[in-house]
Amino acid sequence: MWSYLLRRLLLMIPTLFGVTLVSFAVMQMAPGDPLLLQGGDQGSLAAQGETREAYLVRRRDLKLDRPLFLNLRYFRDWTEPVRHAAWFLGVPVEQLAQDLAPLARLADQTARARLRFLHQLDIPELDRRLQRFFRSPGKESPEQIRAGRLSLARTVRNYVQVFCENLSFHGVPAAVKLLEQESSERMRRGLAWALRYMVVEPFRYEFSDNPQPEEVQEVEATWRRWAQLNPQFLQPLLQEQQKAFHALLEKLLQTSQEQWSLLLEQVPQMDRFLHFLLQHLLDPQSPLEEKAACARILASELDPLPLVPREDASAETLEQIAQNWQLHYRLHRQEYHPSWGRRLWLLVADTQYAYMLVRLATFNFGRSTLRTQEPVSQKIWEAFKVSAPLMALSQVLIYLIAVPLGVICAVKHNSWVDRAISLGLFILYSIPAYVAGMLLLLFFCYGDYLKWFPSGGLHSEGAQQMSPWAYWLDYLHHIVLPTLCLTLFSLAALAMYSRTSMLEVLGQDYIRTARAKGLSEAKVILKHALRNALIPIITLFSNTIPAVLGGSVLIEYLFNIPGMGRLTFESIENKDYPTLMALVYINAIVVMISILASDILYVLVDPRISFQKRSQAG
Amino acid sequence: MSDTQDSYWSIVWQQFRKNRPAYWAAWALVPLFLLSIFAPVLASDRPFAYYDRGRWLFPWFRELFHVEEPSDYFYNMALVVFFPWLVLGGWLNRRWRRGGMARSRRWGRLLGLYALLTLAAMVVFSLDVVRPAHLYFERRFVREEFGDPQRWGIYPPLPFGPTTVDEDAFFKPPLFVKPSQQWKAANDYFPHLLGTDGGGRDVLVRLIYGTRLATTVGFVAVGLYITIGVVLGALAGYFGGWVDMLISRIIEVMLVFPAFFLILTLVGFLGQSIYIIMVVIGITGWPTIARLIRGEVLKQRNMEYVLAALAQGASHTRVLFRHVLPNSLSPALVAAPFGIASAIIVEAGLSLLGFGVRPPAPSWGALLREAHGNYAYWWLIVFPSLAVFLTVTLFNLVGNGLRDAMDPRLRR
Repeated sequence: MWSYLLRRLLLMIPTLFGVTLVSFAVMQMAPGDPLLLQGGDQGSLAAQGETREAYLVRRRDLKLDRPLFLNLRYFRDWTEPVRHAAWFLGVPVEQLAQDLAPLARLADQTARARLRFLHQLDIPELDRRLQRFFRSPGKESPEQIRAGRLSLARTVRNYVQVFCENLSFHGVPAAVKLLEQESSERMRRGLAWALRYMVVEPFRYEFSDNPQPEEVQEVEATWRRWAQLNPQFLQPLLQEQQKAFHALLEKLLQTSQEQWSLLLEQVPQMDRFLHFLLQHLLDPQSPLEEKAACARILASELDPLPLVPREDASAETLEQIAQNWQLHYRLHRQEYHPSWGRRLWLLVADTQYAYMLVRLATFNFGRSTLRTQEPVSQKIWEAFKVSAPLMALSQVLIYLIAVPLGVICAVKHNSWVDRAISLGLFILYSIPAYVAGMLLLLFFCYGDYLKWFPSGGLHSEGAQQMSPWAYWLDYLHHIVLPTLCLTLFSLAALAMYSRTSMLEVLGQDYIRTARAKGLSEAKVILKHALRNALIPIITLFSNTIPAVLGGSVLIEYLFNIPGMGRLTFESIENKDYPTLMALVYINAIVVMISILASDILYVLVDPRISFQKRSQAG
Repeated sequence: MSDTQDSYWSIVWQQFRKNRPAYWAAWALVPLFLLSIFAPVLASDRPFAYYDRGRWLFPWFRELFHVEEPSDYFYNMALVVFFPWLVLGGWLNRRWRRGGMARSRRWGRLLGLYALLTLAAMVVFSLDVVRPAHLYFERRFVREEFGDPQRWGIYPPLPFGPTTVDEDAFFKPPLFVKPSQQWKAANDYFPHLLGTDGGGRDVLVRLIYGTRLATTVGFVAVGLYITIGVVLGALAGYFGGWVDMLISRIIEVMLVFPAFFLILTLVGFLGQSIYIIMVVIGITGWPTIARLIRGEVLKQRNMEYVLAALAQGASHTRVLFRHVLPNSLSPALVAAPFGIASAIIVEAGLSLLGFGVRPPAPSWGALLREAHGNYAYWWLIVFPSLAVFLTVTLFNLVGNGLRDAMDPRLRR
C-alpha cells in the first residue's frame, strides 16, 4: 500500500508542474501590460489613483518585467540597444517627430539599425504609420500628417521607455559606460533618461525603519555626493549652535516620528539645522540612530540628487548628472556583475515562471490588485466560509435523495415507478440549474402572489441585531432556494449512476442464490445487493470536495451570495489576477488530492481490489 | 470492411428506433435545424421585395450576405444553397437509387453534399466582387413611404430583425402592439408576440435567431473537442510508451481544472466572441473524450485483426486510422449529443454572466441577463428558459438513445 501511495504521490509532481504551467499560461493570456495598451495616455492610470512610479514598483515586486521562462539577459551585451534607446530618448517629442524621417527613408546604415531596434519593440502598426506619415503621405492634410508624426513619436518614446523599464538593471553597466564615452549632448541626455527608467530607486537617502550598520556606507555615500554638489552645506558651524542642534536632535529622537514635522516647523534656523544634520550624518563618530534620524529629516526636507536633465539643462548640470549615475554604478557594482555561477542560476531562477512557482509553492498569493488591496488568502477564506456550508448541505442532500431514488428504480426495474422516476430525473437533468434558479426567483420571490422567499443574499437587513434563533431561521429562509437549485438539478446523474450500479448487482448470480436460499426480499436487497452497489458510489464521494470548495458561479451570481463562485466571477470581471491565479491553483490542487483520495477509498471499500492490482493497471 | 461497418451501424439504428422518445427527438432536430436555416424567411425587418415607385428592390436578399455574426453568415449561406441543393440532390438521389445504393448511404452523401455546398458558398460569397452589394444598409422602410400607394413591400411573417433597436418599445410584454400614432417603421403594426427586450427587439425573433447561435456553438465546439480528443486518445492508446505517458499527463492536468471555471476565466481574459467561446469550450472538453478513446483503443490494439493487418504489411498509421479507430469511436459518438447539450448550457450561462457573445447578438442567455436586472420582465425569463430546456432535452434524448443503442448489454 505504501509503495502505491508513494508512486501516486510521485506521479502528482509532474501533474502539479503541469497545473502551474497551465495556470501561468492562463495568466499570460490576460490582456497585456496596461501601460502598453494605453500607448502613452496615462489617464486611466491616474484614474486608478496610481502614479507610473508606483505602478513600476509593483510591477517589479511581482517580477513582471522578467522574461517568461529563460533569462538570457545576463549573457547579452546591451550596448547597442541602449545606445539606440538613448538616441530616441534624448530629445523632446517634437524634435523626435522630425528625426523619424530619415528612419522612414532608411537613409543610411545607422537609420536602418535604429529602425531594426524599433521593430523589436513590437510597436503596433509601426510600418503602416511610417508609410503613411513619412514615406508617401498621400491623402492626408498637412495638419493630419503633423499630428500623425507627433503621435507616432510619442508612441515610440513610450515604447522605448517601457523597453528600458523592462530591461531594468541589465542595461545599467552598458549605459554608464556609454555615458563616459559619448560626448554629444543628445546621447548624454538620452542615457540619463534611459538610466532613470531602468533604475527605480538609484540612491538611498534614508535608512530602513530598523537601521542596520550595513546601510551606512550607501546612505553616507549618497549624502556625501549631495554635499559635494552643494558645498555651502559643509560650512563649519559655531560650537554653541552645534550643541543646541544636537540637543534638538536628541529631543526629536525621543518623540515619535509622526510629531517630527510639527517640531521641525518650530526650528528657528532651518537651513542651519540642515547643515548641522548633514555634517552630523557624515561624521563617522555619530551613533547609528542619530544618523538615521538625520537622514530621514534631510530626505524629507531636501531635493534628491539630480538624475535627469531638464530641457534647459546646462552642460555642467549634465556632467553632474553623469557623475551621479557613475556613483550609483560604483555603489552597486557587485549587483550589476554577478558571478558566472550565479548567472547560470539566474538563467532559470530569475524568470516570471520561477518566481510564480515559488509563490504558488509557498501558498503566498500576495494581495488583490483591487483598490482594497486585501490579502488574497483572506479574501478566499471569507468567501469559502460563505459558500462551503451551502455547498456541503446540498451535496449531502444530493446523496440522501439520489441514491435511494436510484435504488428504488433498480429494484422496481421496468415498472411504472421506475419509468416515472426516470422520466422525472431526465427532466431534472435537462434543466440547467441557473434556468431553474431564475424561474424559482421569478415565481417565489418576485411573483405577485407567491412572495415566499427573500430574493437574494444570505441575511435580511438588520440580521445582526436578531436573537440567535431568529438569525438562524432567517439564514435558513434565505438558503432554501439556492440549496434547492444546487441540489435538485445536480442529483440526476448520481441517481442514474446508482440505478445502473444497482441493476448490475441485481443481475449477479449471488443475488439469485440469495433469493433461492429463501432470504426475504428486503434482506436480499439491503444486505446483499445494496452494499455492493454502493461501492462505486462511495468512490464518487470525493467529487464533492472540489464542489464544496469551488461553489457555483451562476447560482451565487443569481442569488447574490458572496461565496467562492461569486469571488471567481468578480475577480474575472475586475481583472484581479492574483486572486484568480490563487483560485485556479487551489481548485486544481484540491481536485488532484480528491482524485487520489477516491482511488484510495476504492481499494479500502472494495476487498476485491488491491493496491498491487491498481498499480499494475494504472 | 465497409460491410461490417454498415451492418454495425444498421444494428445501432435498429436499436435506436426502438427507443421511441429518442427516435422522435432525433426527428425533432430536423425542424430545429430548419428553423435555424430559415430564420430570415420567418423573421426579418427587411422586405423580401419592395416596390419603390416603379422600381423593385430586394433588400432582404442583399441583407443575407451582410451580417455581423459568424453563425448568421454560416446559416444564411446554408439558406442560399438550400434550394439549389434540393434540386441537385433530388436528381443525384434518383440516379444513385437506380444504381442500387443503400438508403443510409445516399442520405449520408446528400448531407455531405449540403455541407460542401454551404462551405463553398461561404468562401465564394466572402469575396466582395461576388456578393450582392449592401445597398440599403442605412435605409429604414418607414411609414411615410409605406403609406404611399407607390411604395409597398412584401414582408416576412414576423417583420422584425433580431438586432434592430426600437426606442419606443423597451421591455414591452407579450402581444404588445404600438399605438398607431407612434407608427414609424413599416412593421410597426405587427404585435410583438412574445414581447420585447431592453432594446425594443422582438423576443420571439431573438429566440429564433438564438437557435442559430446555440446550435453553432454546440456543434463546432463539440466537433472541435471530439476531433482533438479522438486523435490524441488514439495516439496515446495505440503507441503507448512515452507518447502515452505524455498525453496521459496532459489529460490528467486538464482534468484537474474545473471545466466551467476554466472556460469562464479564459473567456473573461480573451474577450467575448463566438469563436473564442467555441475554441475555449473545445480546448477544455477534449480530455474526457481522449481518455475514453484511449481506453477503447488499448482494448482494440490487442485484438487479432490488428495483428492480421500488421502482418499483411499495413503501416501503423493505416492500422490505427482505418482499422482500430473506426471500431473505437462509439464512446466519442455517444458523448457528442450530451456534449452539444452542455455546450449550449455553457454558452447561455456565459451570456447570463455577461461573458457571452457581444450584446446585440441574439443569445438566449443574453435575454436572461436582461431579466436578471428586473424580474418584472417575466417573458424574458420564461421563453428563453423554455428554449434552452427544449433544445437541451432534445439533445439529451438523442444521447440517451444512442448510448442505449450502442450498449451491447442492452441489446436483445
